[in-house]
Amino acid sequence: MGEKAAKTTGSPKALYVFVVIIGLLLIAGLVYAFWLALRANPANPWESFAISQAFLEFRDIILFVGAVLWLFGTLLFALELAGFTITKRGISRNRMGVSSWGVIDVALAALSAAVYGGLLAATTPIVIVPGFTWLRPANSLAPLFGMFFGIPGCLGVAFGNLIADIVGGYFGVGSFGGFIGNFLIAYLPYKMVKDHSFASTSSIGEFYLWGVIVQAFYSAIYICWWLDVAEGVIGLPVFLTWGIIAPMILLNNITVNAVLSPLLGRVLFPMVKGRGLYWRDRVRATLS
Amino acid sequence: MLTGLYVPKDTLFHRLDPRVKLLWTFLVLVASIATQFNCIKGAPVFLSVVVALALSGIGAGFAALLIFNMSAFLIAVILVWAGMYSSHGVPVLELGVFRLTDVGVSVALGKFFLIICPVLAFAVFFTSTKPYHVMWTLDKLGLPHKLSLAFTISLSMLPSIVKSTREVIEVQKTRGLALDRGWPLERLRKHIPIIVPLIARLLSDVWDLSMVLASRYAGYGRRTYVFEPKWSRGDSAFLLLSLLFYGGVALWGVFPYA
Amino acid sequence: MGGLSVRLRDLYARYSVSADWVLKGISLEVREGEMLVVMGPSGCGKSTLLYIVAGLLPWVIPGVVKGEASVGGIDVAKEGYRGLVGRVGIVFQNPEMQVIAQSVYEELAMVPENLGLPKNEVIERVEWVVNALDLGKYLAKNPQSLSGGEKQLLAIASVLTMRPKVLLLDEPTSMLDHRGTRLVLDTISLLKREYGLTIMAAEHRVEWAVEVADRILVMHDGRVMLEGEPEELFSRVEEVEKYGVRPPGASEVAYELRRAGVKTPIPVRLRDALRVYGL
Repeated sequence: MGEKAAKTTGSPKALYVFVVIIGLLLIAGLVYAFWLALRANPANPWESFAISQAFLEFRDIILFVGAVLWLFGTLLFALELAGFTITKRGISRNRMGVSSWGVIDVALAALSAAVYGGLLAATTPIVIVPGFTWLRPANSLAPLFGMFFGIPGCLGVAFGNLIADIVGGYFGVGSFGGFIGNFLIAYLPYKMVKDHSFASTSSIGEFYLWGVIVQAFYSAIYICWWLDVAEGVIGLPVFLTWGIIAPMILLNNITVNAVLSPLLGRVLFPMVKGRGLYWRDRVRATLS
Repeated sequence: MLTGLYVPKDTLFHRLDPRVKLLWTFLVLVASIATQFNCIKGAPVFLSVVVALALSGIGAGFAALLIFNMSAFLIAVILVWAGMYSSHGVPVLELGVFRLTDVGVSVALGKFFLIICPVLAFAVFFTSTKPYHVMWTLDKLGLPHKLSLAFTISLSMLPSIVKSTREVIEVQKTRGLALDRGWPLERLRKHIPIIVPLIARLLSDVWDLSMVLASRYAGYGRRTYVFEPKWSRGDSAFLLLSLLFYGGVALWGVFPYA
Repeated sequence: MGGLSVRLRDLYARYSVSADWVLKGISLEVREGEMLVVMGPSGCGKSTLLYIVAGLLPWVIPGVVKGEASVGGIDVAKEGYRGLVGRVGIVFQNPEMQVIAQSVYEELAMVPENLGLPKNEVIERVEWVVNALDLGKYLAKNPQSLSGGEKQLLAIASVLTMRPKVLLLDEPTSMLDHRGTRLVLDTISLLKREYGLTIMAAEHRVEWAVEVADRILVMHDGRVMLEGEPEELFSRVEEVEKYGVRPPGASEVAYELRRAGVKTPIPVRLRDALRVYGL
């Protein structure tokens, strides 16, 4: 179904290749900018990091954009859980809301959460610059769980992140933003990528657009907007929120999802489909 | 890092109604917010949470471990806040451009308490509350039962998944996988043989768990809780004491001359 | 034995992910209090048969079921597992996935709690099963620390709190060691002997099957190939072997003796063999 849908859109292959190149250039650019910052200011590279400076420089605009994204993201979260979704024709009912969940959906959400949280807890982050930035391989699963398992997978990612916060001793008021932020990391590629197989240029191109670039910016702004607005409750200074945390989320999510997710997706998609757990197949089976 | 969440013990906090523990966590948060600009006023809240950790049987060592885990992050927070208030108050330390004032230190420690106290309070809640009662609490808070069920199952499964992940890592290491060598992108790629077997297991476990949940009638209708917590006099007394203590500290924090 | 408990007529079934029918025209009947053991090689459709009787296929596992399947007069394909409350309980292969709670008591109380029964009835049912299966010694233990066999025993006990009329066992010992297997099989024998449950078990341990089964069914490639009482069925050693089922050791020995020209009946149980050979 997904493969077919992608073909019917008739999107030019060159556009997808272009998006992939943009994604890879973005990683290269981020890494290069960070390297320059590290050379200029080894004691505190974030102060000289162009992305940090951009976030801090345009904080007022980002706060405004963030408010819109936050409201929209939270509304999406609530709508989808209530069993509604936004389509080209407006808001319509679907069969993915919690009230329509069967035992498979509960099991999918529970096990996605346990695996995502467990992997976050059990794997060591890959340190790029000691004490400053690192990559978390487990994050590569977030968009895949959404694309493969649908809303239960998205919620599993949100729960998994929450559990990792709890066992890691980071659970606090800030985790609320992380909860829905992680839901959106899985939700955006689930909703926007038409072909989830990772077997065609269009599939990978769309994934790079929604599952790498848009998702990374959206989640970074969503999570950090909450940290900024709730600063009086959470206690993080603005410099730390926009100068360090936002670029770290961006750097991690773009790199991990651009490098690891497509490779994993290519291997895992046939397995998920073969076990009858791909969400489109399950919805189709329910309808028939 | 904890291998699980709930630590079975018979302590004051284990015996408290989960709702009381949640309210206590909320009071800790309120008091921490109110005292965030003054470390002296925030110190009693921090101390009370450390005492709570001791009373919950987890111990102050656990608090130290959590703080150690967050140390890089907390040091950054403290330095940034101290730097932001370096033009206020009396200097206590000057090292080149770095200037530490008494106000800066007080705010930095106050913010440290604001971050760490709710984290520790939530740690007390989760380590002293059985997943069974976490599910009951979430149900009481109005979360759909299917969601609280999924969350509770994932909490219960976490230790076995962490164990399986570590086993897979060990097996792959014996086959020559060196996760700690190579460029970051290469090291990322090396996680594929760890993640794929875990997901393969997940895919078969989903069906097994689904059938078990169906055959146990999970999510069938309104659920009975045999071990439903009962609000006791002890719960009321604890809540009243907490209200007086944290309320007092919060008032002290809000009114500068109080 | 009483009236009809399980009735299947011309049953076809396949999963959404399978291209071909997994069950091809199965017809069988199980009477109240009867114990039927289903045997056959891997992939012959044993588990699928039990999933249909439990109302899981196609209600939990997507697939197609054609034909008639009823338990105690209830149309299983129409009602699904939700229509079988208090009638059918099923225990699966994997003990790890069947123990969810963090205490043995919570695990045992789970089914009646999920059914929303009053607290006193939940407690009464848990106490009944603890006494019936002598589980007192496990109550203080963390279920995650139990052995595979003990976990499987707990899973059986958990299902029994539903007070099912029919108990389905999907290769409950296939993932257990010798001790665990003994524990589980002894429990099943006890349930049949003392409580008269109707039991359908997919099981490959033939020595146990001939001890407890009233009837044995041999499946192959989605079809019932042989059916009968243990003595009668395993006297047809060659036929049984043809369908991928190993006969009991006693039958195998007798069969080899017969081939060597010794005139001997074919016993299926060790005690029968000892009697036959005057040992």
